[in-house]
Amino acid sequence: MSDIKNGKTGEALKNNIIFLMAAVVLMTCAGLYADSSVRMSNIALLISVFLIPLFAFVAGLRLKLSKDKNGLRPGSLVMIAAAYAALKLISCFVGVYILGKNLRDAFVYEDRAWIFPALIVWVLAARVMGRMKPAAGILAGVALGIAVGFLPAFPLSDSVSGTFVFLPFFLAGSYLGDKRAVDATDKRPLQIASFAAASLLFIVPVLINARVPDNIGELFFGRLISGNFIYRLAARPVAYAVSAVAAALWFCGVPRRKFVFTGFAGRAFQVYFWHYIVIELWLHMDMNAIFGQIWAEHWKPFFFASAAIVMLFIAIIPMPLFSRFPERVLAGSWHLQGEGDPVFKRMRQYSFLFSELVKRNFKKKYKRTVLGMLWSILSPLLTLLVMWLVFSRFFGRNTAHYVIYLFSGNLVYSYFRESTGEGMTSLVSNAGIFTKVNVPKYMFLFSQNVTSLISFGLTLVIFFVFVAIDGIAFTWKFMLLLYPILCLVVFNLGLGLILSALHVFFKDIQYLWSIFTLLLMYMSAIFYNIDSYSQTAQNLFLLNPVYVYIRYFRKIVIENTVPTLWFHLIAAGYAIFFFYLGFYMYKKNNTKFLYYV
Amino acid sequence: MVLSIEDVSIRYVTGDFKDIGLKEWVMRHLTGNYKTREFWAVNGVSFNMNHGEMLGIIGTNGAGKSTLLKAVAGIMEPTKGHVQRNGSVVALLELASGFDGDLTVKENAYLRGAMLGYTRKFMDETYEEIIGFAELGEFQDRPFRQLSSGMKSRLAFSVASMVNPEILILDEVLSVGDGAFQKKSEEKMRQIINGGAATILVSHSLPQIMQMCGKVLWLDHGKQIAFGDTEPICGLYQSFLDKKITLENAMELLRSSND
Repeated sequence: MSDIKNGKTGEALKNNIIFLMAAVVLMTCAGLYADSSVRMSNIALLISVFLIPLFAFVAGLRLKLSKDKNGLRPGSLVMIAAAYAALKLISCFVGVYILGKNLRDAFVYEDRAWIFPALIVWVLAARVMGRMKPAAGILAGVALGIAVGFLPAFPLSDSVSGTFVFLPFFLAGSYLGDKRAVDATDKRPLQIASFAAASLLFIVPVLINARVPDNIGELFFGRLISGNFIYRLAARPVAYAVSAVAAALWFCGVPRRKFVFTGFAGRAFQVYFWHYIVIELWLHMDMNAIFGQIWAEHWKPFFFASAAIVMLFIAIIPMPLFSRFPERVLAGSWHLQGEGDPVFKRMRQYSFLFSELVKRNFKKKYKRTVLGMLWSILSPLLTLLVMWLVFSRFFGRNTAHYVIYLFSGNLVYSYFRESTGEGMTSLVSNAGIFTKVNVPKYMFLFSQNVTSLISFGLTLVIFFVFVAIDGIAFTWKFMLLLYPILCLVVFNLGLGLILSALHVFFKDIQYLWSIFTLLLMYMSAIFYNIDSYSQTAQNLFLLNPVYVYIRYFRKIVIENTVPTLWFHLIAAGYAIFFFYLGFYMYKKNNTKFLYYV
Repeated sequence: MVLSIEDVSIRYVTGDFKDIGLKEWVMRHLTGNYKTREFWAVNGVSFNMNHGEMLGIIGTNGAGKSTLLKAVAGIMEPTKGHVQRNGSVVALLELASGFDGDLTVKENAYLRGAMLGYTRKFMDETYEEIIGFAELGEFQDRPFRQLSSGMKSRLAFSVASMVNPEILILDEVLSVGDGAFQKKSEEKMRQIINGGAATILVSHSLPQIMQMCGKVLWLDHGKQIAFGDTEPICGLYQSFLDKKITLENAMELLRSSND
């Protein structure tokens, strides 16, 4: 109706026709799927995956060009919307499933444990890219893509690697595509530019790793063709039909604004899902079965043509997700509400306050104790003594350098406990200050952490004395201990931020946390050895960040080995993740704390 | 314009939202007993200030004066409306709080200076002057808790008055210390104001306001009753305090005088 009013009947008609054509193709595909021959269903697959989105894209583009946001939609709006919403749900679930499977793998196979840090790194990369200017974004995308491409352990058919390929895209897209971005004004050149960055990010690693095998068919044989009977029968048509229909609807641009899952996770899984489908199809279709002899002899043009199509397809998908690029650039997420300058600048401005707070904490801590700073050294030593007396009979026999083994555990753990425990109250106990003076609130936590870091440093010195007494040679590898210490500091800061923010809202966090840290002590293999556990169980211990840092210490000091690259990534990943989370909590609540204290 | 307050409103939430603990919080959400009420501590206040102006804020207890000052100082973000500050702000709110009783006077002076955003160099240079002004020279190394409340306020005032801010906020601070110090601090205040600072003064002492301020803002239960020249508003406020007129009368009188 509104179309008639606006004189856009012709436009709407064209859109309807295009949509109908897409629907017809879809129906044909459904029919082809029913055909049992591999060749036919593969052709259907090709069509449904590549052609329908193309049709739909054109239709969607037309809709967009007509700039008639509330006008007539092709087909029945309600039906499409319902179907779309349902498909979105399914895609989300499938996305969850696939991601979940890969995460599960990560526990079982040690060389896949990197998936956790990878996730975090990609989130951050996506966020950073989201704030760059388009040109810089493209460059960053290319650089990151190439870097990823050169990563080892990246065989094409590996589903974990598949995840890795998708992640940058999926995260960049999902982050940028949140509600505000979608609602923002269209700026097509910028969209295209920012999109190009992301697609390069995605494609480059694939291309670099697309080592063309001797037998090209190898590249395209996949689980889909060689799976078990039920899988072949049901999974493929269902998954692909869903993919095709949903892609068609998506690109019609129909209910995008209304029915899309605007949350981060929802979008993440959407994007992830589509990419997974595309790449899975591309990599695992049995081309020999489709094109027979021709394919085997002339695979090159086919290969590159299909690659081009895939790229095009991929390039189309996140278009709507990448609007509002420049706004993101300006938004600057390192600002806290109510504070004019970004955090880092504020920290420089208030460096004097920081040092004064450190002084104050230090003076207060040791003021009325007779032993003063000696206490910092004595307390871990006493703990060590007790633990040694109790446990050395049980665990000491099977563990080399048991005292050092114990000490390294205690060293890391006690720093963790002290830093988080004291950091937790930093906000509440300084409420008198930040309710009267406008100061950066994280200063209280940061300064609190310095105090515990100093006692950690003192204990560390004693630790090295013990190491020397125990007859362990100091090697250059000891320098690497700076790495876990740095990670630990950042990790503790992050947890401190989280806890201090929570403590403002719920005072009982204090008690929960003390129970939790006690439990964590038993979970961190401080006094026992987990070597006799199964590999899976040992990998499960990696879920505990404190254990990761303790393990790093022991690897260097006792075993004199440098941990793997993945181990480093895990250690850093936890630190960055928790710090980021903590910062996010402050960002969210910076102006709310005041009302709760 | 150095300070512009546009339709600022600040909402407080009261009720179950704090001090109930995690368990209660979850339980009340589950049982649907989670109830919060909100009230507007400051409701739609607007005014502007220029360099060298002095504004007095008057109102009974709970009128929203301190909350408004917190918004001006940037400690609180207004729930609605907008505060625009063109220049540095120094706020002296409830002077004696925020110090640490365990530290010495000197350490506290440095800490307070740091909070106000001074540099170490600046503190080193002005420390003597601060202590001298506060007349606490002989107490320098005493723990802060041993000081009398008057002394504490004196130190706070001295530290804060060392800079020349564009906007100075004083909440019930001119009445600190003994008579001699009051005189001194008033003088210092005048110096800062003559230096071009826009000053906001909250005081329950009406004579003081009438003597010092060019303009007055009258708040009552968060609402802006009047903003304008000191004399007429203060007169009405006095009669309101003496229960000679009601709030409605006062507003009516103000309206008619404006016409």
